[in-house]
Amino acid sequence: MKPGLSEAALHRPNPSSNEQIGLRELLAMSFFLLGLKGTDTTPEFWITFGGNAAWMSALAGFAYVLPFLWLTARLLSAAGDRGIWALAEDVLGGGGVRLVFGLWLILFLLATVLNVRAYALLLEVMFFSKTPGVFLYGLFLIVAGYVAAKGIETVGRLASLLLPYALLGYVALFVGIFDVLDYREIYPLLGTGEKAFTGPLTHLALYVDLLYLALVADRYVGGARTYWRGVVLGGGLGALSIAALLFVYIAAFGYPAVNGLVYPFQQLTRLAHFGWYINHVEAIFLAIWAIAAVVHFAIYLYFDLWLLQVLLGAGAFQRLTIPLIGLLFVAGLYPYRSFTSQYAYRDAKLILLTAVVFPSLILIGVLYYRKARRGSGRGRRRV
Amino acid sequence: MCNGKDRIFEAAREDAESPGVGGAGRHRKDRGGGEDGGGRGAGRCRKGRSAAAGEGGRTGGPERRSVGRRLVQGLGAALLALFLGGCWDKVELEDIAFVTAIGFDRGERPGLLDVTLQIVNTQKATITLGTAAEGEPRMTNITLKNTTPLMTKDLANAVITRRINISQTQAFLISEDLARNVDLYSVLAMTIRDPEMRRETPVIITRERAEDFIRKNVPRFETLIYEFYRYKLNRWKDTGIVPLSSMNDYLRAHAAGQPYLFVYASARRTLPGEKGRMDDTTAGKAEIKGGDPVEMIGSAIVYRGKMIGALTGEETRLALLLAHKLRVASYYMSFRDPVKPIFQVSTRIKNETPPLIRIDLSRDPMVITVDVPFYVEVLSIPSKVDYVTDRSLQKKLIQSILEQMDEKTARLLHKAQKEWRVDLFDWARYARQKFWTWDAWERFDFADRFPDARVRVRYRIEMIDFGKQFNPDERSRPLEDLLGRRTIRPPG
Amino acid sequence: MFFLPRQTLTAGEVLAVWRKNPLVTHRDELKRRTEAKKKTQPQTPIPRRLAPAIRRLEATFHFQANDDFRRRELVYGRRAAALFYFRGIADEDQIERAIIRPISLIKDGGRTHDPLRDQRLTALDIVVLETMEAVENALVDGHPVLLIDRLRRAYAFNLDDYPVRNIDKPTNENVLKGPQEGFTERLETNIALLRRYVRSPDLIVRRREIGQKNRTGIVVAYIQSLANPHLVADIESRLDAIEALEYDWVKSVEQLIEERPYSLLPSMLTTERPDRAMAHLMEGHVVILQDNLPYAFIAPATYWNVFHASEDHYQRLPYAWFIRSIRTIAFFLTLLTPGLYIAATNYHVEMIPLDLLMSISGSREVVPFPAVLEVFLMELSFELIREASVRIPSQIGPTIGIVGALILGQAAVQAGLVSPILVIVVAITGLASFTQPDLSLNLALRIGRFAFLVASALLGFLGLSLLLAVTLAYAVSFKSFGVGYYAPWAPYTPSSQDVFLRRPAPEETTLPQALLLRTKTRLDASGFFALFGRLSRRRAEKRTQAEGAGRSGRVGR
Repeated sequence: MKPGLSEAALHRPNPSSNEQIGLRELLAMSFFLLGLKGTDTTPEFWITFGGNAAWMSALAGFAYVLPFLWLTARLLSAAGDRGIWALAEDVLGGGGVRLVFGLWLILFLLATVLNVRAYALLLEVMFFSKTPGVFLYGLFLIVAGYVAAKGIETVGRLASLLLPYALLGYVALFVGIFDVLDYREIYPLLGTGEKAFTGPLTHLALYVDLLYLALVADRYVGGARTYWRGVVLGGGLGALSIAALLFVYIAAFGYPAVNGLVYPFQQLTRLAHFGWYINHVEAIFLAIWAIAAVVHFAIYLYFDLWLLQVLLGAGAFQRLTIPLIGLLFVAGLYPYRSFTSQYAYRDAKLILLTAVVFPSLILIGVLYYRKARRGSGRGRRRV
Repeated sequence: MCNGKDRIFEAAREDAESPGVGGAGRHRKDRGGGEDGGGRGAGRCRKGRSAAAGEGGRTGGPERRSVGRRLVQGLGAALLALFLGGCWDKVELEDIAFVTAIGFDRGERPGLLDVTLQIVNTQKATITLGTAAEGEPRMTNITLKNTTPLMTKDLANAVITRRINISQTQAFLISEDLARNVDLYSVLAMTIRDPEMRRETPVIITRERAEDFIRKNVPRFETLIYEFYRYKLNRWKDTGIVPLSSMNDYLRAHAAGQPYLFVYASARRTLPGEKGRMDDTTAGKAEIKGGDPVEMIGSAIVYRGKMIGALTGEETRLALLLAHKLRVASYYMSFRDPVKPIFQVSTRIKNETPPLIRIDLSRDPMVITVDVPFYVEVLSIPSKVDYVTDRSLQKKLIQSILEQMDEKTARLLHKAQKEWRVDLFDWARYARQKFWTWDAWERFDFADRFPDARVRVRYRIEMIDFGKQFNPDERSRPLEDLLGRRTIRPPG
Repeated sequence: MFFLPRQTLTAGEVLAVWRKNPLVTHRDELKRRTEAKKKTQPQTPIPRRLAPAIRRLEATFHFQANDDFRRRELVYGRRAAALFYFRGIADEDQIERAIIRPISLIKDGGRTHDPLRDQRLTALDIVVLETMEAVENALVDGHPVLLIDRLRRAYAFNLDDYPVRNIDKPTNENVLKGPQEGFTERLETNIALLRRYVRSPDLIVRRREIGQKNRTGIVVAYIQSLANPHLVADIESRLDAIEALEYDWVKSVEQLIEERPYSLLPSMLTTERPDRAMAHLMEGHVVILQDNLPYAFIAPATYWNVFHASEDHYQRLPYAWFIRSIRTIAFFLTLLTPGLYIAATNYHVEMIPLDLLMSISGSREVVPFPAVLEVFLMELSFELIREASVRIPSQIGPTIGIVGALILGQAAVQAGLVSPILVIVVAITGLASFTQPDLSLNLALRIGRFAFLVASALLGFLGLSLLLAVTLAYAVSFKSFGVGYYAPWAPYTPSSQDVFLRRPAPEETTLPQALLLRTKTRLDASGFFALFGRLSRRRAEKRTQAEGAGRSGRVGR
């Protein structure tokens, strides 16, 4: 045999059929989780915080989340190949871990319902005024559920396949609206001042999805290292794209005027034009955006399913897909009166998520390190 | 020979009834039991179809048929789901009436508007059918009195057969009467809520009622009216005598508390012309004969939702230039000949480098300095003064051009600061850069301070050039007989 | 509502229809049974006397009825002997010259009873047969068989002479630049072709037969030093499983060993070009040849394998990029054009350029059908023309195709059945579909476009993109013999990046590692890096470092 792979390597499962996730997939998933938030109704939050410095708020928020990501990566590497769940179980015990991750699940389910519903509402308002929003909501759930049921590696591969197109879409959009922009609209530079930087602190949950990616860290090829790199690079790319979009919203619509816009991305795609005759291309952006949204929610649903499976001790999570989609669909039938109520719901959800996920992570970290120190301290004393 | 096959399907059955899909197996058995007659009939029908759709004459065992039946059932369910869902927003193309222009006028009832929709006859667009539809008009105009913009789409169906679609609207026309008396912002903001409405649509203010404008605007060459607005817009990009006003830019300016310049147009071309003003005039007053029935020149200033005045074509260009919003590569201007003042020197102006706008807020009143670099190409010198070779004469010409520019600018600045008291040049955008936070900027209240600001506009001629020809043609006849027969645009 | 199910189906039931191939999922069980059957199968020894043997053979081959079944009675040495063969498929001339004439004319004293040691027959390829079943098989294969009295063995001579077609140009996979020969129906010829392209001692060609009574020859070929042994074992085990199945005729081994018979995506690549088979062999794929089929199956096949044409590598780099880009565009045009047209005209009218919109809208006014039906009718008639032109005798085929397309389109427009723009839409779709080199992918696209048509008729661009997302998710999770369909791109594994475009030929040195080959590069590593200097070396060093770090990091951190 020529020099090459060893016999042992040949007996490893095939790299394309195993269920592991590499850096590319993770990066792409992080991007789709975060980057898409610049294109829905979420910019409203950042604009509320930062005014015309909303783009800085978005970046600041990401910067605040970085330590948590770092902590998670450290915990993951400490947990070895077992993932964050096993580590939490070590320090919290079986009941505690169920309680904490049960809360994570409930809040994430809430986020899934509210966000998918918000997307359905968006589509209804902007493109399909006669189609019932509930139908769009159900359709989105089914499509994303199908993708999610295929497993995280499928979602990851799908994301990594689509990432170049998504970035291309962004570039095309920026080229298309270039002559509408007036970059001076972003002055005064600091916008609302302090609030632009303190505001995101209460809404760290805008970036919480990146932490959920740690749940399946045992599937990552390089373990904690891949997690850290993928989440920082992908999330950073996502945060940058959010910042760029916010910048563009303000530059294109003008600062006080952007407050009046509910769906700035969709309005922006309407403004995009390439030369004099290729205009009105929002439907193409809609298509790209919808695919990205499917990936986005497929990841949401996957984590819902994953947590549900682990909490229930169920076998194959695929079998939970249909009940879960049914449940989410019913849960999404809450009456909505206006965009403001939708906004208020999401605001509350974000604050709750921030208040639960981040402290629980710190709790796990603190408990783990205390335990570790006690362990090592005992060891030292023995020596 | 059949053995192997049977074995396979045994295996298949095992697979189907394995714990993984146990539910499915159970369901099937249940269904095999009690069911009503109608259902059975349907089942039989399905069975027949699946067998036929199967392997031709070679029918397999009972399990094979079951697979086929399931296939049909699955497909049936999928198709049902497909046909039950969707199609709400579907609309056939021929069922749509495309609105090319929308006009807004003040209604008789306060708070309500007269909305005019101009609908184009699409059959005129196709070569093969255009002749077939010879008897049909190329467009139709509908005016709905005393209504709101959003109501019109449905209301118009009282008199028109098709679904109104405004996504291809080429222009909004607003009558001066409406713009001067009603809050324009609320009108446009009302309109923009329609998802079909597009923010980049040009907005034009008409001197007369928009309804009349639309009715009179039957262009000479363009069979399809939308082409008129499109070509017109393309030309504006070259001339700069009207601003490129769009809905989005207006909303942006309004929210920032800034004035905004709209295209000014008129279909009443019989107004007494202002003699010898060339492009220094407003719509309806230009000295042009023939052409299309409408005239678009100059701009209307809208501030805080109300129209407060109008600029001539030349002033518009100047205002845009000083605001660093002139997107025109080059344009023509004529200046008084400094040596023989009855003549005009025709020039082409290029602003290759943008004006430099500096605002000094530390002084009170604030000082705004604008440096405008210029590139002048002298195209014709009807007076035959030798500016081309004589350097001292050249200097004189330059001096004169600068003086004339200063004069025009001073007139415009006076209007802006003293007459209308608005920041016509959007210099607030430059002032904003000096602040760190929005609160500080709001507190500063630029709009309030602008009328008292000391504005210095300095023109600088970067280069002067004399066009394609070095010398005025010596052999040509003296041009004195051209006196009083000046053309609108000097021959380039 | 005749198709309304009596009871609501669960999604599991719906999905259960799209089950995997039981021959593959239950292959271990099937193999076990095959082996058991083989053990119990009676093996008839050749009778000692000639007469019963002849009787049995004549009964088996219906001697009375079969005119081409020949029996030649000879005297071999001093014993009676009989030579059997089928007339058309054995080389009668050779039989006469090389067997019968030497045996009957040249006397050697009658001492020899063993053809293997017979001086007169040494020039022939002789196989010794022990059972009657083997004799029968040899006869069917065209080998003349010599039975000798009082000898419990029979001798088959390799003198078969099946009529075969000459090596011809490939009919479907044409290239402008590149080899112009295709496989034929004869398995031996195809193997020979492969051998001619792959001049390597490492090429393993393993022949087997499927079926007991009516046997079909199957050849599995791979490069020993490249192909992943697990992959080869996987394919072999699938073939083992169907070995004993009594199909009348194995129409196509592809359908018996693929995993998902209902899937639109082909999991094996079909090619009639030996050069293409070779190219895949050299990347560690396994080639499966079947008797009587003038093409080879290549497993595993990823999307890229199916999408690429062999010409892509014969053309110079920029040209190859160009044709691949065209083909990529054509791929999406085939799949999406009708859907895009419907989505744009029925849902997103604002996106059509105004002039075009006016003209479409104007021409639609006289058309009686909704746009969807219009598109559907035209696409259907295009498919009709296409299918008809394949079946029509070849003399009039092209004419009918053109005439049908032209006249039908023109007449449909003039009769006001469809709008003129639609003829263009259908023509573009049809034309684009012809650019796909692989027949399976071509058909998959053609079928798939109707799904996209329906999706866009339901929800416009949203429906289109949702279906696209679902399709992509399915395709990405689809596996061909354990290899992801989009490998080596998603998942990303080391390769020469021969995916959307390709790299210059000198740099195409990394073999696609998605198949987990035994070898990583085509060239000797030192030679390559010596050629390409510091940059490549540095990159290689970095990579090895990273690999080392990754390995240690996994354990350490």
